[in-house]
Amino acid sequence: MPNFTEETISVAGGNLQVYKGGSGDPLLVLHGAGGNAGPRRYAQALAEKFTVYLPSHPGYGKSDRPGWVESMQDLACFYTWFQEQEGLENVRAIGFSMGGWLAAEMLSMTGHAFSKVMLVGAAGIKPNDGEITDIFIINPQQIRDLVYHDPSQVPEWDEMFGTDPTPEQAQQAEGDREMAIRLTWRPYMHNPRLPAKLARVSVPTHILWGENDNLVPVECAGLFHQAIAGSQVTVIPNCGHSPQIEKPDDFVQAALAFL
Amino acid sequence: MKVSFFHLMPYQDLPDDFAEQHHSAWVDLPNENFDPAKGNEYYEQYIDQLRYADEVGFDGICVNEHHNNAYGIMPSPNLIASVLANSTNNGAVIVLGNSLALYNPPVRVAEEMAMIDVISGGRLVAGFPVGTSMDTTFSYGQVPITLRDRHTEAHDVVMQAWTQHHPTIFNGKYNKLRYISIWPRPMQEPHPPVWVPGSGSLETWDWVLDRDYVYCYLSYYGYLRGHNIVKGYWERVAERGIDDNPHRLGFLQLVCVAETDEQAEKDYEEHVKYFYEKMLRVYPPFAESPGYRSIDSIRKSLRPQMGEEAQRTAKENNWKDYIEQGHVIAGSPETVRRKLTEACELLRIGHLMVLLQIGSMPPELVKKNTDLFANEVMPHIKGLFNEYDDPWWPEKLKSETAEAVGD
Repeated sequence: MPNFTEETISVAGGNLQVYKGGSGDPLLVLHGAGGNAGPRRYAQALAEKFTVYLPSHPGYGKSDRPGWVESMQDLACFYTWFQEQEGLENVRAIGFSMGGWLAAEMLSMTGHAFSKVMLVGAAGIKPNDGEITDIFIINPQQIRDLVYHDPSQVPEWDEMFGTDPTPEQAQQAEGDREMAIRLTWRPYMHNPRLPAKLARVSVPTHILWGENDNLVPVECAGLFHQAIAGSQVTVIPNCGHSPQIEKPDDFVQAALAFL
Repeated sequence: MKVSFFHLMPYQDLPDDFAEQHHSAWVDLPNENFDPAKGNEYYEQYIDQLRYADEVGFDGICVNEHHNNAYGIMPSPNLIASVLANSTNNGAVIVLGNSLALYNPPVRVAEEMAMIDVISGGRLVAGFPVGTSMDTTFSYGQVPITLRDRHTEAHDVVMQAWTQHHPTIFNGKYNKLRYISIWPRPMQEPHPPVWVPGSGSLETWDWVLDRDYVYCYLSYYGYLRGHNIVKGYWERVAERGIDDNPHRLGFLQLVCVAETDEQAEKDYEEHVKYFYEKMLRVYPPFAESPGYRSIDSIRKSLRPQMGEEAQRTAKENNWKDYIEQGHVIAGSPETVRRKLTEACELLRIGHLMVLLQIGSMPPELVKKNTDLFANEVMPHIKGLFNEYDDPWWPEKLKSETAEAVGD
């Protein structure tokens, strides 16, 4: 199994925590609003083929929180800066949930960010029917209940959720949540101008969704597809908001086929 | 000390099964539950009650701002305050206040309060709360994490508008204004006294003390529980080497006066229960959006008054609990005098605000409570702390009080 290391990289005047592992071409993985779960099974599998970079967004995990990062657009600016500095432009990327939104914002700003990109259960576009679930008025347990369609098929369940969080982990989660709020409170989890700006995207884009996503309605897969000409869509059946955790084998298969 | 009459303007007709049907009286309670015809009656009653308080000798009358709720149908306290400014003559008009971060530009607050000050002839006390989580982050969609920063900047805009008597520019993080030049400007110089209601957060104490304003604790759970918060405030005042003038503190207490202690229970119990069980029913996640308070405040266990704990106590408590725990000071005039004096001395309250219309209390009962309080209680406590000057009171009213005392 590829060995992951934890590194600290100085970017834009602050420290960025990055898990890095594997070998091959770089693959940038952008986590969702809930925080960086580290190199889970899917990341280990991808690291067999790629050098996986899994940073904790500014304000998350052990990364610093620069005061100027107040919106998803600021975050996208931060990451294009990171890419330029680290020579990681024109790389493959996967964005999960809010990380998918982040990838989409970066795509809307520059053609140099990614060579291929996967948007997985991505936030960022407002559904026409229904709403993206408000995760800020429910507790972590309730969020988890909504994220996973069928917990019994989550291979890493015990490892991830088997024990109660330590006080440090709980405090970390609170900090992560604050950062998510800073970035996504208003308007909630979307940017009304994003669909129009995505028309410029010309890199291969794969939109992947769990069929039973209870957080970001699967309808949004179609909206991203409409916004990005030539994109392809895959919907994984019998699966919730996080296919990479709930059905890692199916997810990795789809990712490797595309990337 | 100053004694003021506070009104929340509650909506009284929530159904008996309200708690089973709805998880909150705030934020998302459908307004199909609001009957405008009844609302019309309540506004008339409540405005009359505030005017009456001004007539019978209260030092001030207080209104405040809340949104999306049945707890208080006063989303714009300035509207009520302008009516009062025009139709009362005696005491202060205390607006507690405008949640500054909600107004864009905040110059609007500077303008409206200046209007109230001028209409009232210089009797305005201006309150600048951050606002509850329910009001600001849910009902008005503010980002919780930047709320306090925005509030501070908005305050600076208002102060600039009030104190600079020529056009000025403001370029802040949230507000960019090319010409600040309000008409009218306030009557009081350099500006109306400022009071800041807070829920017991450290950052608010320091914010208030940095600017030499009055800190107000609007307590729903009375003086015994409020004592913990207020003690923290006075300790902070001492730590910072600031004088302990009791007028640095405003405190709201629920009060029910009747002929005897037994009569108080008979008269008021159901209305007080309505207040605790229905008005304070807040779906806990609304009571504190993540990021609304600093991690420091959370560590010090300064919990919000509403939310989980409030709902628990509401279900369990009866009249005896309300009295024993000091949530409500109630009873005969003698009992109320004794307890209220004790409360004011214990907490060093220089600006006492009393809530005499509580929950579903009908007008006759409010009048009785107000009369008994004004005649049998107020005269006995007004002399407290009179050795202290009160720089946080409209100048005009200070001189009048002095003359009255001279008579």
